[in-house]
Amino acid sequence: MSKPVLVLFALMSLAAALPAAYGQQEPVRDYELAVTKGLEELQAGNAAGAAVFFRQALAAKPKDRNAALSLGISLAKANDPVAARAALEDAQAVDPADPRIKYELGVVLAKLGEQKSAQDCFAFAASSPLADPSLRDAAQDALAKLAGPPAGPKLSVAAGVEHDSNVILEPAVPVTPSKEKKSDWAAIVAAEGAYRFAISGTTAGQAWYRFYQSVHDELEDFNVQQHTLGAALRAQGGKAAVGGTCDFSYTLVGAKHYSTSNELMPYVEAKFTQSSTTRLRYLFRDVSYYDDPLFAGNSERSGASNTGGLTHAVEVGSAVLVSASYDFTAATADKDYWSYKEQYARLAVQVTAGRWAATASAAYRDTRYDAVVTATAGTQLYPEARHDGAQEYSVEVKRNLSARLSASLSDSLTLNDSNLAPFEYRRNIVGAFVEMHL
Amino acid sequence: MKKRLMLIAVIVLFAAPAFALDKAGEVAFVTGPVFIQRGDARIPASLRGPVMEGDAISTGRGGAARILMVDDSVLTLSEDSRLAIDRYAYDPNKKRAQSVFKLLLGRLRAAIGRANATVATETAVAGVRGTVFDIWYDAVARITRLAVFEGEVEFRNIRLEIKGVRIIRAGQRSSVSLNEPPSPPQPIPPPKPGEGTPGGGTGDVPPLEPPGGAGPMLPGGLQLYLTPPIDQQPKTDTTRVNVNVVFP
Repeated sequence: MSKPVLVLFALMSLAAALPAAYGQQEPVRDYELAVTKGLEELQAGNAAGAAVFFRQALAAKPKDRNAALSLGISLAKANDPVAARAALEDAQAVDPADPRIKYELGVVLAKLGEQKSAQDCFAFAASSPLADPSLRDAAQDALAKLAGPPAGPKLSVAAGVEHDSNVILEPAVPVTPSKEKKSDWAAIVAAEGAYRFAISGTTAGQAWYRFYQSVHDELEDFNVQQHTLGAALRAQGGKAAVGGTCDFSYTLVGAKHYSTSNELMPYVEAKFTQSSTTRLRYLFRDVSYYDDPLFAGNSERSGASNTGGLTHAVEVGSAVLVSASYDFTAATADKDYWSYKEQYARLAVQVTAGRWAATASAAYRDTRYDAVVTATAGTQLYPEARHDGAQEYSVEVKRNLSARLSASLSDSLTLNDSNLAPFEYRRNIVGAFVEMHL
Repeated sequence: MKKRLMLIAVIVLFAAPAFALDKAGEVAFVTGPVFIQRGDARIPASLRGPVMEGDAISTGRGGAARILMVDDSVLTLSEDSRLAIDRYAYDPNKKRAQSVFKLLLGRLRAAIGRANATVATETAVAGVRGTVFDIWYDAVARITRLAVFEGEVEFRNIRLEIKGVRIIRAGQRSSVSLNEPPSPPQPIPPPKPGEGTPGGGTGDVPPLEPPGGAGPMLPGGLQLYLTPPIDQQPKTDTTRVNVNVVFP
């Protein structure tokens, strides 16, 4: 008989000779098995299923720090922050100095809207000598996110290329002269310089200047340059916040003055549940358009609009954010046929996974213009007032290449259906951008 | 003739009630570099990937894995370790397995389920049923260390001619050096005050963390309780640069 076979025989004889112990009370083995199945479910993305096994582990070993911690993490991922908090507080009672428990408790408290307590937990984890470097880094990142952007200046620059299948939406009627070629490539540069300032622990403001420039490959008359000055203020109080933004934009097209606009948008925001945020907003916008040979009659669109809107965003687990919004706008223009009432509904899903983030959205815009378009002599150009229904779809995939650099690919498709044939169009914009935060 | 009879005896004793399986177990948790050597192929371990008889699982620095066997045994492999599944046979009628594992390097926590199992190293053999224990093989010092947390382990030198078998019970530890019988069982030392990790003993047994202990980390970076990764962060809004100009 060969030596390996002999060794195998000896090993198995040894095992066979042992008394059968399986089936007796084995809390440690039950614990190990439950923890393993819990970790498996959690890693597979089934946080609720994982929580069941971690509860079994706790039943086998009550007041066990590791099982309570893992149960808390699972419940937080399963979007049950109240139960997660209880589990993590149980774990904390076993080991009050544990930085990982503090960190996860901070995550849950932030979800519950208890920002100050969450900050305390992250600060504890970030400064604990027991924390390993990855935990310290995560805690410091969390602190930075809770605090928002640091006070002081910041600068970001984005650059890329875009292909627009339909640069000029309405080439002939009513304001823009016809152009044979309507699709084009463009290089885009956008930059933002901002200064953030804290007024108190719960109130912060920001002022910014934004610059945008597109350079078309062929349709150079349609190059856009925009300068925007703006400011924002936000005050947080428990689960509610109030804030507002205002800005002023100056836009040139083909190096000629195209429009000037002012916007004011106050809002209130509330967290009615632990995993959702609701924002109610009002937007006032006043725009002046300017004529030039290319955009004759552009000034007819000048006017003001009032918009009321509601957005409800829900976190599904820790990686998915679903938001739905609705806006109603009433706009008046110099010419009635440019005045309109508009309803806009949008559903968006944002998924984050490590350095990757993807956003997809679908929207519908219903725009009813107030009057029939007329020529200068008062002749009606169309039998009825324009009524558009536009489907808008977009998708963006973004990857953070480093702490300061990200790259993105995006596609947005608009399908505009109108009761007046000249206003029907299809527009697809594909873009690739790199963004740098300095 | 005598050798053939012995071989037949081995086959009749062990092979008859057991069946070959598509898989002996699966990867239930994996973190860091973990590979499965299957024949000539070196496969990165993936969640719920199969583990088969004849496989060798290795972990690199910072890597760790939990393997859930068909009989509900759990094998937790620490970093810088290598474990071979030399034999695994499962009888679905009796719902029991017979298994032989070989710890070639590093540290293993075994929570043995419905199985008659042996864990061998280069110096020692541990025979177990329904037991939870840590076994640690130091390839430099050529010493195998054992700590038992539940049940009993029959512990002896790998070389049959070296006499001496010891029963190591829950709460006890022992070790086997090259060409030596097992050391007398000693109690696993309690944690030092403020240490945070139970174990921490001195002498020939490395500090150990009993399952479900107060701290997941073992001194020296060994981690047997594989806590879920840190991947939860507070949500923040993203700002995108765009422009609202259309013609018209």
